[in-house]
Amino acid sequence: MRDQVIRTLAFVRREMVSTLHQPRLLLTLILGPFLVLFVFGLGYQRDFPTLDTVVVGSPDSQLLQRLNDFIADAEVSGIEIIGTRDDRDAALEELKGDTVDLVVVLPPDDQIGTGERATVEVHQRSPDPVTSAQVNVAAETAVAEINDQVVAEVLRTVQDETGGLTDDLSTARDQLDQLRGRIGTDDGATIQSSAATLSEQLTTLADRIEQGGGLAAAFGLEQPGEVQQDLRDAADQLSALSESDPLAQVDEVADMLATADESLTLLQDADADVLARPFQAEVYSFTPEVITLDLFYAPGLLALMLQHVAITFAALGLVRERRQGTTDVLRVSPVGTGQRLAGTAASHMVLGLVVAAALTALIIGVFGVPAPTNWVAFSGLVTLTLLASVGYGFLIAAVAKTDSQAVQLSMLMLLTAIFFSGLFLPLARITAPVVWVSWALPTTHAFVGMQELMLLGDPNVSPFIWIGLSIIAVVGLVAARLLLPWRDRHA
Amino acid sequence: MPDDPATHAPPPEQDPSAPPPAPDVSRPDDPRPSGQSAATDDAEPLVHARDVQHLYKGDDGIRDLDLDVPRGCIFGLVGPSGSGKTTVVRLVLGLIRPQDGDLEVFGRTPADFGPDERVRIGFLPQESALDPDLSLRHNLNFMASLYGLSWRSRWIPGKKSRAARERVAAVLDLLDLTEHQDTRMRDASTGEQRRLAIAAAMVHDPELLVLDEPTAGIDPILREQLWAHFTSLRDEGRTLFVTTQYVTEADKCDLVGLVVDGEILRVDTPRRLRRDAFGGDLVEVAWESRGLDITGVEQLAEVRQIHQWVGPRRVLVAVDDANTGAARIQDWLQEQGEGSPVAVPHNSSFDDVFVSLVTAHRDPDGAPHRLQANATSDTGVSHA
Repeated sequence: MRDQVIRTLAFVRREMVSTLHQPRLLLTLILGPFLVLFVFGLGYQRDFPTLDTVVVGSPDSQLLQRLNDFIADAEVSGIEIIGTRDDRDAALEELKGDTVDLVVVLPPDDQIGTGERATVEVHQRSPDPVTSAQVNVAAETAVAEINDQVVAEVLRTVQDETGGLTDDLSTARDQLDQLRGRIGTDDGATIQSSAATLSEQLTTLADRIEQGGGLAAAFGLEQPGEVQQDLRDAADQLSALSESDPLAQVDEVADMLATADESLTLLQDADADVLARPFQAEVYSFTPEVITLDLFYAPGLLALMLQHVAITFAALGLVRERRQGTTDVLRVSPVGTGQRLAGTAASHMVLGLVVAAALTALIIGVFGVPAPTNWVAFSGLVTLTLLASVGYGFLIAAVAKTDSQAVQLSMLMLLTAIFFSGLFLPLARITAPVVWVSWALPTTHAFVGMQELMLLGDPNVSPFIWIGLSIIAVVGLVAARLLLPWRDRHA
Repeated sequence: MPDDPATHAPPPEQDPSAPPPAPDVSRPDDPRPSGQSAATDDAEPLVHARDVQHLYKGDDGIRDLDLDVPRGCIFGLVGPSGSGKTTVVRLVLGLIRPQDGDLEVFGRTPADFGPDERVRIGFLPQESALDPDLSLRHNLNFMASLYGLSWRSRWIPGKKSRAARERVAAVLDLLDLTEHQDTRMRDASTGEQRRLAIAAAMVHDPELLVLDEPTAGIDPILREQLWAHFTSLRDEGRTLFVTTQYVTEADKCDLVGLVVDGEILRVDTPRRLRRDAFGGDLVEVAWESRGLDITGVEQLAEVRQIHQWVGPRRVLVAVDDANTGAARIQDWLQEQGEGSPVAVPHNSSFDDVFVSLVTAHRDPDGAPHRLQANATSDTGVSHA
């Protein structure tokens, strides 16, 4: 047992001393990834790049004015209108010639308010899907805003035009009350005459509402139409007042006018902007602080580097031994493959932990990434990530015949991690069974775990992460233990 | 290394199919009584092979390997590059398993060795197996640790780690590396690297040292130093299994195996191989009289034949035994009236021995190999 421990520790010490004799290598491992992130952070522009935009439409178009107002008022970043054009095709040629980034084609004013939706065309030619998505979102937002503005303006117009009707309606209701008071005292002919007069007044009111509310009806507003209908119904009732029981009919008309008055009052008192945009969104984030893109990438880069360093060192270390002829010396010696792997793995783990500690300190200190809420869990996550990665590295060494093959496979693992770990695309957008490639990578587990601990402020890491990393580590190390003697014999 | 002539008689006729006899490897300076060789200390040879075969694709490898290496000797496996020496080494170390035949080292099949057997072997591969980024001392510490010698800091007390440190220091000292122990491997000279590799192979004091081309690519002076180390290790009782493509180094071995084209031609002492190559021991004979008929020497009972003319009045004569033959020829020359004749044992280079044996092996009916010399007599007649 003592000899086994000595042999295992021999590998740990050899790797440690060998690495300490290469301070440049250590510095590269620590400073390299940090500098990559640092330069990325320096050059990264949080705002979308400004898109030079031309608008096709008449210079005196109301819609163009609204578009300009919207862009100015809403401080829309990323879109700058550099001019207007009359000719749609000419504008599209400019887009093809890359002299402009965006072309917005407005519908003619006479198409607006005809009862059909008018179309605003937005043309872009970016090969970048992120920019394309940006244009789509901006276009949708702009058109929605213009729609809301138009609706609000229509409402305000209707309010203006129906403002005087409130008093007239109030007068009509007073007259109806007087008429009701005279039923039973005045003769039937007088009552009928007064009712006919009132009916005409109500019809006149309904006609005025119909004129003012036409625009509202075109934009789908219901209140003016309802008031108008109530008034016409009331007028009809009064024009055909029953001689036998006029009181009941008058009461019914009084109710109709009350309803119409209420609707008209609501229409007048309503805020046009609220009516046009009855809902607004307020987004609250449960993250401890706003997660910018560089904050998001920092733990991902740490996870990626841990996997890459561990895999590369473990793979190249064993393959290099084979090239140097050390493998034969080790096979002749009493050292077992298990002792060799255990010692080598331990040394790479220690090295990886040093790199992880330094990188973690740098991203917290320089980039302001939140410190892990649970350092014990964070340390365990890093350790298990390194162990799983070392297992993959040993497996690569067992498969690769030469240094160059080992390097190629290590780089392939790096590329796979970039694409599949959630760093490049959210994991939710990768479907099964391909997503299992993601979960077979230590980087994926480490990235998710670090997001929980550092960005989301969660004190615990999901059990799925621990189980996943443990399975990867066990499978990798056991497979390497079984395959490596075979490879050493056939090297 | 001269052999004790008393222990060696001319080789008897052998059945080619019979395994080679256990050779007598006693040396003149061997303190043991005459006839008691190192090989007889333990009846069982340390390495024993019969009809062993291991062939790679293209028919490279080794076939029909018959070999017995006694304990406490230097066994030299001599042959040109690509002849199969390294395959034999890998078989002996258990790195590959024989495809046919029986092979035992320490009485066990090497491919089945466990840690108990492996700890008894030291191995020097052809290529450096040491870490270029470590110092010489750290490399040696690492190798020592593989064999259970604790690699611990000098600041940590402990009897066992102190013993390990002392052992490492002693081996560094033995190979004159103490002054350079902190030099990084990649910065060390070729000679220092090779000596360190040997130190690494012996740091755990193994019984059997397998050295694959230990002197390849190093200068003659260092080569001599290394062979002096090997001899001292042998004198301490260790067995050395050495391969070399420098045929002349065979002279420094107690027992030599000649490997050519994947076959072991002969396994014997250097002296017996030399005798077989030239039909006996060689005596160099020189005289002054132009009229002397040197062919008369062949009438002497001790003389087998004139082997080769090497000058106008100088020949190499094959005799049964170099010392007695030289004395008898000296007497005969004086009887012929020669005033100051010369007849001395001739130690031809092992290159010639090797070439002669290989030539005879490849073309048994061809002309025998001639030593490098002028082969014309005074009369201008060429002598075969």
